[in-house]
Amino acid sequence: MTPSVASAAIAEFQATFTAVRREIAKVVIGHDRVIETILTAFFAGGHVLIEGVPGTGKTLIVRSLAEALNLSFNRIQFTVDLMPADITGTRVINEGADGRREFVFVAGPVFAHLLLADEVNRATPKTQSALLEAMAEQQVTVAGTSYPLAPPFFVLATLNPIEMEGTYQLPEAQLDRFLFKVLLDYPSQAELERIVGTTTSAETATVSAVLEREHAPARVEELKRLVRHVLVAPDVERYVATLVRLTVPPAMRGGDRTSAGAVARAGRTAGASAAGQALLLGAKVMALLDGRPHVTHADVDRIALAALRHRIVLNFAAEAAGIDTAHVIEGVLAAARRLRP
Amino acid sequence: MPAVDPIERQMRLVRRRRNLLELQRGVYFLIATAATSAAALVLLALVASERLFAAASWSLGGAVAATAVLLGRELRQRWMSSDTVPGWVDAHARLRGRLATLVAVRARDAGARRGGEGGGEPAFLPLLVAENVARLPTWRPDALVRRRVPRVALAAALAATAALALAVLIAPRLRPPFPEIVYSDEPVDGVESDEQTDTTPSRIVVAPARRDASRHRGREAGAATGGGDDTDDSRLAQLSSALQDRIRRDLWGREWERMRDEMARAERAMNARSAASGRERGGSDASEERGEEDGDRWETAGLSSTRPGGRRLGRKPGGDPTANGHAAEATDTDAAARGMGDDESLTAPRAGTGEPAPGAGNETDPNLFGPATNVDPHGGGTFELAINAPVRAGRGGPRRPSGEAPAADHDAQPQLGRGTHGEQTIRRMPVPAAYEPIVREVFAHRDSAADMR
Repeated sequence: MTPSVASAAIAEFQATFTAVRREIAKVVIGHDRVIETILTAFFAGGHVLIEGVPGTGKTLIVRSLAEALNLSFNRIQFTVDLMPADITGTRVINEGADGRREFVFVAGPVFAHLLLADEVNRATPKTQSALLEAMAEQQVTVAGTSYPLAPPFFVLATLNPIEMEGTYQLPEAQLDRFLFKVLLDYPSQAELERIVGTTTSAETATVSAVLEREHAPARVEELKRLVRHVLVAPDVERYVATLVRLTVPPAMRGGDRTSAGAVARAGRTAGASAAGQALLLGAKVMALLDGRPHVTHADVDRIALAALRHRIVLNFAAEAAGIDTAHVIEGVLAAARRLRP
Repeated sequence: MPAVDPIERQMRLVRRRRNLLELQRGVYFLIATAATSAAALVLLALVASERLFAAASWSLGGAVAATAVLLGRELRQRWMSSDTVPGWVDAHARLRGRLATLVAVRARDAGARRGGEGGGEPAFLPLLVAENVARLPTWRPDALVRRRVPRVALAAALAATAALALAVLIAPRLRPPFPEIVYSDEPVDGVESDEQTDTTPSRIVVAPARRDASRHRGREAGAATGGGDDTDDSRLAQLSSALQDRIRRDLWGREWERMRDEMARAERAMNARSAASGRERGGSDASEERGEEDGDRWETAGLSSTRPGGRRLGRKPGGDPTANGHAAEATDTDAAARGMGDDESLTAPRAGTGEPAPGAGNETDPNLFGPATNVDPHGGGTFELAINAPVRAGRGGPRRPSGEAPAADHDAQPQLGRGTHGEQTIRRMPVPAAYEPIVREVFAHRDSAADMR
């Protein structure tokens, strides 16, 4: 790739990213940082877990993203009686024109480019695992037959932090499948004023498609491949590995005691290789957004909170002390910076 | 892909310029430290006592060594290796990791290719090279390392060197006056000023040591003569002493060497007298010899011409100042007549209570042959004169001040006949060459028959 081509590709990535963000911002008031993180995960090829109370615009964000990118969108409301087949699809007996009956696979809602798994923790672990297989393998298996999901495949699952009765907490291994986790807070006073104003007026804002429908999936895949080409220096890779390593509590690492003090006090479990991949892929998108063909330490730092938040599980003492994950990650970052040459 | 040669060449230039600057900085600060210490050392060598100079020299040497170690350590930390250049340039030219990434990625790819694992060239590498080439002007060596010379370090080095030169220039002004060296056969407690700071006195007296004051004054005299401390003959003390002596000799030149030689001669004369005294007392009572062992030591005492508030030379501590004062006045005229200056006690022994009169005891009257002068007793060579004249070496007490004959001492060896005991012949004694005609005339052995005639 010549310099001019590479430069044009980066510029095109920036333009697409910026346009999608702008289109989403037409209908979603506020949450700029959340939208950027979700888009980052989308172009990095990962999935996002959103935690937020109902009514904060989670569904609107994902739907707007699908409309802006001109991709297919499905929404699944997870409930306790939801079955895996309700997600993946099922085989039904279909009678053909010749009167012959045969099993035909009817694709479930998972067969979409963008999938909103609303309140994913309300479904049973069996149902959750059906979704998680699709997330990890980009395919679903029904009756021994695997059906690949058409790329791009992007899952945005939500967690409701209230009304926890009757919910099934996602296991750490399944949390690890999500690239990022973002917190959707209540809108501020100014944002709320704009929300009530724009959503009750006669003219409702609409999202315009940034990409053409025919070429949108391929175009998105090109952009995702471009992200993978971003250069990473060995010392940045070392920094990422150090960062992830520092999140591991000392009790889980045998003799290695070089974890951050905050993790040593508050951590129970930590991220592994998937955490490093999330950090580096997110940092690559950040580099492209900044117009650079290479990753810096600052890019890693920018994405660290979203990439590590759901991978560091606090122990009981930390929760009792009111220590949150963001505080622990700040300590990890500070420790990693000190170890940088 | 644009060539990376200009980038690598510019990195080398930056590294060279930066390292040269750091090297200069270290050297200049080392020069500043060494020159400052040397200036202080020179001044201390000229004005300070031996002990103070020894302490200061070792302290300054330690300080210089510690500073050198610190500077070396800092230089090593700031020294830029080829691995650290990209990161340093990135940080200082705000390249946002472009250069460091390029160098690291190229090195990794080259290593992978050597190991047979080489894949294709990274897609964005040409773009990264092009960006770095385009940004070359932003990190030119002269823009990144603005100064060729570290100004502060250079100024410090120049100032310190100037201070050293100034110390060397003013060194002749600090040279003390040439001391007068006189000899005395009786102890002097006339180191009159404890506040005396100048290590080179205006007058050197070679005299028998007193028991109480010999040690301290001996050390002071040793310092004045540039010699080592008798009580501290350690190698370190000798080193500092030799250094001080060397500095004085180099800065004060021939005058200092002459003064030092004079003092050395005085020291040798002192030792010779001490040895002669020892031989003379060889036949005396053993118990007495043991009892006065300390008192038989000889010393050089430095006396200053200016003695503000100090004790007069020759005044016995605890003695009658009035009587001594009268005695001093009485002998002052004689001393002046002999041209010995204003310090009468050097040449005219006192006649106070308990004090030996001139010529009393078993010592030779220092003024036997006239007033003592500065004639070098060894400069013109000496001759050994055989003296067979019997000298009474009995326990001779000091003559009474009244001039009456002293009372006979108690006979320590009654079994011997009177007039036979305690007599000892001094066979030889060193006599200055200048006195040769007089001594030969006085001690010439004439024919007894001729004498009878």
